[in-house]
Amino acid sequence: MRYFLLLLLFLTSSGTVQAKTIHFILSSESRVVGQAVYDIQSQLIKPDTATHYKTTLTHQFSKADIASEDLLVAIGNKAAKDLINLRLPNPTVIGFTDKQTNAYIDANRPHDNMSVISLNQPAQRLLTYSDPLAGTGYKKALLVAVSEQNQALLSELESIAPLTHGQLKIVIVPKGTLAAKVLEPDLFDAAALIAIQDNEIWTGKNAKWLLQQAFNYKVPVVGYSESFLKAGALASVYSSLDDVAISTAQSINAWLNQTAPNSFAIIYPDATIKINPSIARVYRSAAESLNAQGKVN
Amino acid sequence: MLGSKIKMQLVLLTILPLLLLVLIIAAFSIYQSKASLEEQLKEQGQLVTEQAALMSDFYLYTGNIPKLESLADLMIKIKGVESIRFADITNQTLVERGAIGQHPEHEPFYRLVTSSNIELSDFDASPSLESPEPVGSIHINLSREAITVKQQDGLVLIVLVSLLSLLIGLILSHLFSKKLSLSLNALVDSANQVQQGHYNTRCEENGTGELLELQKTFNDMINALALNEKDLQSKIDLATQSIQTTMQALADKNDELERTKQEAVNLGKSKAIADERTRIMRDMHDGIGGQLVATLALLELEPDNETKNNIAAILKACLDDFRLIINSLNVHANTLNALLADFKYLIGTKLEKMDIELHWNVLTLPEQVTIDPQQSLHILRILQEAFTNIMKHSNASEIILQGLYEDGLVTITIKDNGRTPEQDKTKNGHGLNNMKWRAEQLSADLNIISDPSQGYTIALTLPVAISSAETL
Repeated sequence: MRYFLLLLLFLTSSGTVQAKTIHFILSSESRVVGQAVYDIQSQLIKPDTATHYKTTLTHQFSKADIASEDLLVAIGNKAAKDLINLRLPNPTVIGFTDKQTNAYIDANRPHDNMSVISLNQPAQRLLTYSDPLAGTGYKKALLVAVSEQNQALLSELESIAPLTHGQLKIVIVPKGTLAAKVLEPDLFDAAALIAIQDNEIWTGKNAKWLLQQAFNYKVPVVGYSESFLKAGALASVYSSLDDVAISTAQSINAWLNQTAPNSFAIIYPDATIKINPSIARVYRSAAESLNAQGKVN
Repeated sequence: MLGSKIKMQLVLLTILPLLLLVLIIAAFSIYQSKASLEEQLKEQGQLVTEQAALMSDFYLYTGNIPKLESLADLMIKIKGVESIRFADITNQTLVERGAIGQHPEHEPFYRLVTSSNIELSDFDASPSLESPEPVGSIHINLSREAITVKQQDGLVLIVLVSLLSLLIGLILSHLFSKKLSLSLNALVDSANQVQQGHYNTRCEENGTGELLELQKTFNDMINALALNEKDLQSKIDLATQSIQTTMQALADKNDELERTKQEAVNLGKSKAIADERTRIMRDMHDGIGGQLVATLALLELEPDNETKNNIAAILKACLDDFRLIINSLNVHANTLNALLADFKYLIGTKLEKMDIELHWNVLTLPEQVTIDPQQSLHILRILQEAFTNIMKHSNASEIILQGLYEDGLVTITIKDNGRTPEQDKTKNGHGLNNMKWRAEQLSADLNIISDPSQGYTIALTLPVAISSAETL
């Protein structure tokens, strides 16, 4: 992988910074990041000869190489935060960032000529998708766990709660408690557990117990990443690497075409819906009520 | 003792490496079996604890004792599980089934139950820095009984297989060695026979391959050896025969030499005796004979008278007797014919004077009948006594002397036609006794037949030797 990235750096850094240069600033040299850059560049419209690509790891990036007309593209949370901290005036596209990073960017951006393509789906999109799971019997609630310190998510959920016809049940997990234990009483009458990203709740450590506890009470889980499916969720609504790469490429193409709006925007890519067929056999009726696999906008 | 036989040596030669190999394989198999069973026990223990960990981690995490008890009851039913104990992160026992503790027949297993993290982000490829959080521990004791039984079963199986392998190996080596030993024994037997000199022995060609070649070569060798032996034996026979011939010739030569030596000695003795006898005879002839002749000559000069005539007659008789003795001792005339001829000459004159006719018949006697002087004297005395008796007492007019030779015996018969008066028988008793004594000295038979109407017949039969011409 390292050789692949070095080859990519060599190919994209061969141009001179005379006209417009697109600087890809990467959080790491991981395979996912390399694949993301490759997918983005393969989606870009063919630029003129004066436009060049330059790819740099974030810890090697220097603003001395930046011209005023260059476009900065940050890939990943770390690259995004580093770039924001540099407070450069250049137009900027940031991709593959989570909710927390998006909030940081929103709060610390140096200018508005900036587009942020989020990895995470909006909570509303998960709840809307999960809405068919809400039953009419005693197991009717759509359960969402929120750490007590995540007020932003709590506000967001409260704002969209009316859209769920009163089926949304928000469980506040106090700090220092076991989420699985806190949720246990509410799982008894829950129709589904909706996993919305909260770094205090859905940690790698807690997720196993939350999923197991939900399984013990025969409550299907709807996750926010493809990894949830492997961990035991019934379905996931998530942005795939392709989804995010396409949205990121679209933002770059808009800048190249000079059609980009000169305003800050957080863009949510199309969502991919996938169901775990093994879990679906357990929750047959619930799975049948969900939409088939595919894309949602 | 057993190892000295070829067959046993071959069996040992093949079975000992097999035995060693079987022992090594058996030991290795036992070791492997034991190690394998230990590994199985370990794997079973790890599997059971892993299953228990997977089933209990959440209950350990949440401290759900009833669930842990249910799980412990379930796990204790697993074959081989003697005890199980769930403990929290402070090692405080939450649930225990069976007696957890040191037991020689139990194998303890321990597993720390941790809460592993789940990766929820699709794009965060960096490894999680959070280490697995322990939620409790599991202690399980597995019984070693099963493994012990399996070890014993395995041991029995290995021993049986080893014994079977040895048995098969023994049978095969026996068959193999029997085939080889037959060929080798045939060679050994043939070699022993050849060593004892039986060169007509041949080794049975019952081997295969190189052994068959060896047997054929051995037989060829015996053939060559037999030919050599035969050749050698013929040479030895020839040499032996030659030696025997030489030895016989040497013995003959030796006998001849001995005989020659004896003859030489005898000849020397005879010559000495003859010389002495000749000397005595010459001395007697020259001395006594001369004096008798001189006496007679002196007596002739004396005037005739009766006394003179009687003395002269006696002296002449003495002189005749002396001549007879001299002649009998003459070694040069030592044949019977010569002796009889001299006697005829001496007695003839007397018989003519007495007008007695003598018939002398000795022509059938062989010329080569030799007699020594002593025998001559005895024969002469017997003849002299016989003729004297006839002339003095029989008044015979005729005397017949006949000599016969038959089968080494000479018979001299003297017969007269006179008469034998009765008064003369006692007068002549000493003469007959002397004749018999002399006949005994001659180893001869003397028969005297006296017939008053026919006269005397005296027959002397004595053994004689006929000498060859060379000895004469």
